[in-house]
Amino acid sequence: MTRKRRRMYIVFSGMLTLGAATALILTAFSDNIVLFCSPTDIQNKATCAKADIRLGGLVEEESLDRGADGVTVSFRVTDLSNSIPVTYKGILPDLFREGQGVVTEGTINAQGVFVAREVLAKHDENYMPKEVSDALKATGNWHEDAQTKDADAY
Amino acid sequence: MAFDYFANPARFLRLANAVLPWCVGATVILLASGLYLGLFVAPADYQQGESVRIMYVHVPAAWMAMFVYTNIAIASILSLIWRHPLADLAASASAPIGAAFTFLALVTGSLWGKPMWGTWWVWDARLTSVLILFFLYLGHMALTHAFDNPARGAKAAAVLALVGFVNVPIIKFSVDWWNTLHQPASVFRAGGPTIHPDMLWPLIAMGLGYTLFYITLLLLRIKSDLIGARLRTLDSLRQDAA
Amino acid sequence: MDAFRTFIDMGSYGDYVWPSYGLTVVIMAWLVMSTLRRLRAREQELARRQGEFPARRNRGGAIDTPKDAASS
Repeated sequence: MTRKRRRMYIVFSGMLTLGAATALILTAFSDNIVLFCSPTDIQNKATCAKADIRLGGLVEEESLDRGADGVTVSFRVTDLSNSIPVTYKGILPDLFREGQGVVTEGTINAQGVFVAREVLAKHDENYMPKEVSDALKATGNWHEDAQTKDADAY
Repeated sequence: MAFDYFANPARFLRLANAVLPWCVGATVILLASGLYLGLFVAPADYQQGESVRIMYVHVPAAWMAMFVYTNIAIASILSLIWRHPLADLAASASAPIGAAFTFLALVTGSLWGKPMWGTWWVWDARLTSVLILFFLYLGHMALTHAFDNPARGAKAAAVLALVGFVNVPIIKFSVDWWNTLHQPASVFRAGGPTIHPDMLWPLIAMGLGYTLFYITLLLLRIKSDLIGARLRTLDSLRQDAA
Repeated sequence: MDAFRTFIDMGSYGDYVWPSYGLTVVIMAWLVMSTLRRLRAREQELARRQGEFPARRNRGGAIDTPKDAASS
């Protein structure tokens, strides 16, 4: 075999091996690579049963309650199968609203309420001018995050 | 094969010189129109408001970060297997440009994430893998210059480039494979773009402008390196004569 | 003037939008300048030294071969 062909075999088989090894490693560590656990994950996955975790999902419609002190808020995070109550003291991101994606970091207390230390908003991949979103909402064709996305993504 | 034809530096230089004015012109026109459309014509986003204009510098930078690395990987294969003489030059000329784009993607991404997500940074799969890409670029640049013999540096860098290439599909699919804060793809996805045309066209203009910017600089840098090689030949001739 | 202020304000996101564009321009300009600077310097040096040794013509008409370019 020519030297060139040998070099080709070495390079490509090396890359293939590397790719396979990477795939195996990433699959094995998959649960640790995710940034957050969904409410369903918290019930089912061992890696999500830790004390300090990130909880991600959608802010459940009509669950937002701004506390009397003006600083504490409570809401529920849902993945459309399960939901968890969250309480948070602090400033919410601009994009935070009901039906919007959210990623929070904190701890579940003894009462099963997630006490959040940090609340981040997650937005979807759709970009459009306000006139278009208004028009879609007016004609009833508006799909909130909840419906365009596979709930698994949250 | 086509690349054998351009292994001759003189021929490559003739082509580069012929093409460069067009590359420069196209770059200027595309960047100027992209900037104009993005800043003055494109509408604000229904949810992100005016902050969406960061997209016109963040997304093209991210695209280039991956595109340039892919070019380096291809050049590395050409260098390692076919020993194409210009491949090493193309790789070493591309690395600083790719590193700059990756840096821009990270920083503009932070500037966009703070107001929209509420944080400058998270260690999700997308952001982390792009940071790794940045380190790969730096590593490539370091290896290129780490050896007295430039050929050894080029070879080491080529190996690094190929080993690190597995990171590129990881970056692309990170938002699909794992839970991330970064949202899924809006342009290169099955089902077509989810960006309104009024925003998509400025983005495409900037994307093409950034690409031509890279090609222009790449040609100039290879040309510069070929002249550098000629100078070193003169140096060694001078030494021989002494 | 008012329209200008509104534009700069970028819907309260000006503090994030303008540094993004500014940094982009600065870095891309720096890439261009460093590339051109090195190219000019080398072109000038080559022009200065062109007469040092009589040109050796090979088959391709180039003064040095592709191999020289790759290995130097």
